[in-house]
Amino acid sequence: MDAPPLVSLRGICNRFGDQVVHEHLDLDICGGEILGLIGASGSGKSVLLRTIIGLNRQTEGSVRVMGTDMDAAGKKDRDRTRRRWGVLFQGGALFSSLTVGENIAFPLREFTAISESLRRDVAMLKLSFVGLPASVYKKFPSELSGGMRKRAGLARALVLDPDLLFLDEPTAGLDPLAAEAFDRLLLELKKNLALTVCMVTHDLDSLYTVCDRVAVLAEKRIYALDTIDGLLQVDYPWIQEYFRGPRGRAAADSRRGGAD
Amino acid sequence: MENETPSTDLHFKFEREDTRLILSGALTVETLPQLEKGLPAILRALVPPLPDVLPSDSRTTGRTSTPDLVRSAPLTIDLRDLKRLDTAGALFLNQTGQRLRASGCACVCQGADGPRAGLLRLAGPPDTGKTEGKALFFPALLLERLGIAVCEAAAMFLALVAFFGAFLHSLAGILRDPRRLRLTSLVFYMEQTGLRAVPIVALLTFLIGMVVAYMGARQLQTFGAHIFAVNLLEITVLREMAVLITAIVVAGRSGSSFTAQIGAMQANEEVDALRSMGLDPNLLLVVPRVLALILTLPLLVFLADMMALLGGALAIWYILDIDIYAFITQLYAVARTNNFLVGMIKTPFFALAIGLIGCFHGFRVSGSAESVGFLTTLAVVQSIFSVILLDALFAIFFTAIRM
Repeated sequence: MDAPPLVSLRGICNRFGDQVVHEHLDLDICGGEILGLIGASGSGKSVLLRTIIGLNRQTEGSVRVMGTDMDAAGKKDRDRTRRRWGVLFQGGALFSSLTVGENIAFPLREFTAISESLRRDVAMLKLSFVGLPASVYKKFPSELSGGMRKRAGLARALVLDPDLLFLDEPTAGLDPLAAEAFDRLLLELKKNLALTVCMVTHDLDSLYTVCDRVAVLAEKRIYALDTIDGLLQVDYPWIQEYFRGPRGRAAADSRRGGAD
Repeated sequence: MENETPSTDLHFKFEREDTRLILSGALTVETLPQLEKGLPAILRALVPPLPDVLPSDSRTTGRTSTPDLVRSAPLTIDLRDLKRLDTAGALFLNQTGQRLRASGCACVCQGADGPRAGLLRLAGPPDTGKTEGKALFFPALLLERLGIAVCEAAAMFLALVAFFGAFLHSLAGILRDPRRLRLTSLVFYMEQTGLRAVPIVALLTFLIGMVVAYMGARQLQTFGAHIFAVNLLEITVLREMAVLITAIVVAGRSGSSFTAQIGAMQANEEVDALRSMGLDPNLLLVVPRVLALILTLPLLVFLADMMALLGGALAIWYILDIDIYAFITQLYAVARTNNFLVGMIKTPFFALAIGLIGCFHGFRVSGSAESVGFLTTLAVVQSIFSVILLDALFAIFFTAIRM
């Protein structure tokens, strides 16, 4: 990868009172890759994600996204960068007072001047991207199931064709078939839209099928960052247990079976 | 933006001779409005109009209506100079092509290869999604809404009556077996709804007593009937004001918190967990709250009566120079117990209405956290409404029995 990384974290420290979450953490996300972020519960995955997208101000260190230093840059540059990424929160974070369609079209309405009918068509297209039927367009988020809300949230994150997509546990709470469909969708979107994805996940199947590289958050920093095969060589108990445990093996076997 | 400067401008040019539309720069959601506005005008201006006019798409507004195109002219959209294309742009190109083809005009995209072809395929026009039903004629729409509102109100009232029935059923169960009553939570809610409300109720009714006495005294002074200010204060405060003010404060404080508490439990599936354990949520959640309110509201109203009389006495003393002893003597002379009793009789009914409505709406919370807020507001409005309605009914009743 000779191109400059899309996201580059340097010397990130995060402290909440006495509690140290991250210490001198470095991370690079390259263009065009799907990066998985794993770590034990409480290891600060969500805090790291929130730090990158600017919801949590790091105690020390710098965050550069698409070449913009998110702390030094002016508000205008920061906002422009923010428009080039999409974020899918765990529960979808749809605005409950808007219909699903209005939710998806919301960034279009705020940031672009395209006509209303085209706006609706674009929103409808994104809805079909994420595999939702056109009938949910007029529904309210409270009328959808958790999985559908997540998909609708993804459609909203995708509506401005972001270069960078952050996903917080996208397959958690989905049934295995829906999770698999989600993985396929992600691969297809990546292929066609030149997306770069950073996802926090605990889904081993997702890690095996979609992630190009996996970052392991342990010991308050990125302990290892490699392909899964590379990680298997890392001598760290948690990583070994994670991938060599019964679930890890099952996921690995199913991938090998699928590849043959 | 240091590493790359993404082209953010769109240029489009129409070559009339070979009907070729050349796009260059970036065709993204940011630049799309230009093309959306420019395209119809350019096409209309450059293509010699023939009588064969396209039927304009029903969904587009007049401004962006399909241009009048010649049937035979094949249009080439040249994308070779295009630096960036996003899904919205691809969708628009596809839609334009589709509309042209629908009117018998060929449309070819040039330079659509590689990943761009994938994008164009992916952004195929969505199944046009006729999700909207037929729009109703406006008065019919109003009528429909009115009907829905009436039906919903009736259904809600019936559900409230059913809820009252369930409450009585649980209460009857407690009378049969008093150990079922959760004494701890009853005492807890008595503290919450009663004791904690004392300062605000006392202060408010003290002020109301002063205001009533002050206004009455000023009016009666002009007739030389000062002393009747005491009578006026007694009847107004004991019969109506203290009760109403206290009930409204309690509806705002406790009724709303009942809805919010039970609603949060409902949203968190705690109520379902209780049911699944074979426990009666009415017994555990509703009875202690409503009983606590029924027990404490009369006490609060008594306090309110006293505070209002005190406030009134001070105001009368200040304006009319009738001191506390004279005030009490006059109060003894006029205070038939009726007014006080009338006020007190009403309180348990108000408490019942406030408590039931508060709890009832708590159970109506479903799923989203938004509905907790909505239903809390609704509960306060409805309980205040029902308190005033009940008060009016009591006024008629007590007049009829000459009390």
